[in-house]
Amino acid sequence: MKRFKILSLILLVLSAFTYSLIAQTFSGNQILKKVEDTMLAPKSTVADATMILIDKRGKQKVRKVKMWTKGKKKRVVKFLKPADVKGVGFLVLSDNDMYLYMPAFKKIRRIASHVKHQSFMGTDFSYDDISTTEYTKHYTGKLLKETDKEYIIEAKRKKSSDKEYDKLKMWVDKTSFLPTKVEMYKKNKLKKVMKNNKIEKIGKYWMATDIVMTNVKKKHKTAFKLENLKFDKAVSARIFTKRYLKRGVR
Amino acid sequence: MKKIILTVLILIFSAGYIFAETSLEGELKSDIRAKLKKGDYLYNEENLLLKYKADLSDNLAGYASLNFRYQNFSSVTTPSDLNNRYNVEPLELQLKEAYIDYYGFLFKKLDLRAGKQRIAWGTADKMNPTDNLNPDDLTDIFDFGEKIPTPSVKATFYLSDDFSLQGIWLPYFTPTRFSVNEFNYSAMLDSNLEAQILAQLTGMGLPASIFSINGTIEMPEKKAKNSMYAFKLSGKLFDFDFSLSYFKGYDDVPIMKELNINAATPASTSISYDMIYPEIQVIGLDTAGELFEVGVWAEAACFIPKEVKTVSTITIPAPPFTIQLTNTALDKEPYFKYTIGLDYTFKNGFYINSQFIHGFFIERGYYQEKPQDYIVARVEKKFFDDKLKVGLNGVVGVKDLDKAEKFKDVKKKSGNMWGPEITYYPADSTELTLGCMVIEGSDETFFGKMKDDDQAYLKFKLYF
Repeated sequence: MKRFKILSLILLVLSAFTYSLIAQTFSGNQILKKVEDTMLAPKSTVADATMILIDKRGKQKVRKVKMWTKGKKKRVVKFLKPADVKGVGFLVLSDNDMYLYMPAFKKIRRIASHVKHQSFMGTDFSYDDISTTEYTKHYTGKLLKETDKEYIIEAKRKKSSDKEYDKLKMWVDKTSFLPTKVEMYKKNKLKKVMKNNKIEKIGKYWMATDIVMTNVKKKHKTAFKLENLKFDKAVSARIFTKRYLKRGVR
Repeated sequence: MKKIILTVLILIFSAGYIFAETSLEGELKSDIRAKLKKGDYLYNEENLLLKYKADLSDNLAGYASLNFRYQNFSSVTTPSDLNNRYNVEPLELQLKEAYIDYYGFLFKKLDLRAGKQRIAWGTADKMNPTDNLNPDDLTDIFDFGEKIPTPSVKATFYLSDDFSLQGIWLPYFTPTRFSVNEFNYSAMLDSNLEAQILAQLTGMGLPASIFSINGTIEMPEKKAKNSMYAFKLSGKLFDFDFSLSYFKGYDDVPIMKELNINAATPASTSISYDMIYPEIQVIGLDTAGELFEVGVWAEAACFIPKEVKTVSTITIPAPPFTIQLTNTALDKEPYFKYTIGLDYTFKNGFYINSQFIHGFFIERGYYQEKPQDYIVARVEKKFFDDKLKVGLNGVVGVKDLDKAEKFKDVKKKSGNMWGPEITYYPADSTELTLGCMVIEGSDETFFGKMKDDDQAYLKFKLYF
């Protein structure tokens, strides 16, 4: 009986150990999917964002926007600062369905998707960088290394994708499943580095609220800070319309 | 209507002060141009635009803008001019816009805007044949597409997220305003008329000396029955945005109705003329979308004018009799204007924008002023972390392109304007622009008429 009890205990410990091993070992694609699911978990968000542009000499410029997101595609950005762009509104309904409201012309202008690789408001983020993060649609993930705190994965662009970067290297935090760092490569050259300096849980969602994007060649960086984050019910569906784009921010 | 606008202004400012979230913003602009060859100053403008916004509630907002414009130069030719402030300092105060927005007026899906407002229709850049609700502001002839906001009521009903129906009522007519310098309409009109009539009188063996030219313009009477209105249906089909519109009102450029040439005095001839604003209806269609990541747009308008005939009466001295001739100045047959354009940003950052335009802003009908053809293009790129923008602008206009059989014919009747431009952004919300425009071409064309005005310009803008 005693032998039976010891054997059962050993088997129990072994199975628990094996289970924990299996549970923690994800493939690169699975990690990529988890990152995507975490980023797209909120059904909708609203936040105030401050972007500080820092050139190689340390000179700074400030941009302030209010941002709303809904689902995988929809985004509204209303520019608050500086004065020359105040009142401008940007609406994204899909990859090739974007609009810009210019108060000076009292007009909503359709923007073609050729702008997606261009700089957003002079920052180091492109329009594509601030848009959807459907990683698994565009990239195939491969686990390179695992540590106690993070996974390091390499994501290679799929042939069918038109994303700018052919390779991403991600350091993914095991607790939040958000990347702490992303290196973006084009033709094997490092183009940009994105660091999430602050990852926090707000309500039931993990969010990166302090992001720095560095353009390696230009030695220029943009610090992107999110504040006053609200989720889901707080964001009305009517905001993601051309009708609302023309209105002021309240 | 002026009392209504004043009431609207008072409401906005006082309610805004008490209840609302308000903001005061503005723009400061300076623009000076000089001829390349002799250095003569051509144009000068210092402009302060103040914009006041008041968000009174989730559904109610007010907006007003005041423009302080110092335009052109002191004009002093007699000592008494020195007493006239406007001759010494040509400063103008303009209430640009003043309106109230009511979102969800009576119905959740109905938005209303009432007051002096700019209503911008059309998907093309600057040259919009469907954009006829506000008259042209041609005080700066090179600033194509500028319009004068006018009092109106605009109601927009949102049938869905993609479809909307807009109705606009403009209670009275406002004409186009022309420049006092570069495109001095009255001076050009008188000068052209004088030249034509002198040629005719000489041909008839009569004294060729014009003593006086006097013109009058008849505005549409300020009555409700002469108000203007418009409708527009906007929507989306197959990933393309489109609009279908209708406008009934008046052409904002006058046309000659009556011309009297009195050559009764042997030594000289006096001319008088009367002009009116022709009634028009405009059916418009525009669309915008993308093809293979290239932004594309097209906009077309069918103008249906009310026929205008010019009755010319020539009185000659010997033997004394009167000849009366009637010409069609504006045919009732519909005519078309359209713009087709595209834009694209290359991966290296070069941006290109190009449009083909049939019919410039004051071209119309089938005779002297008939729509001509133009190609406009702009290429630009930013450098040094967007601190510098370099651009190249160009426009080519061809007269009677439809009649050209060979390239030689096209070249003979073309005019063009092109020039580089550099914009420097020393700090956020400030820009300094240096550029030039070289103008060449046949005298028959719009640009050819200005070929002596090759110019350089320096502009400064500050936003706050």
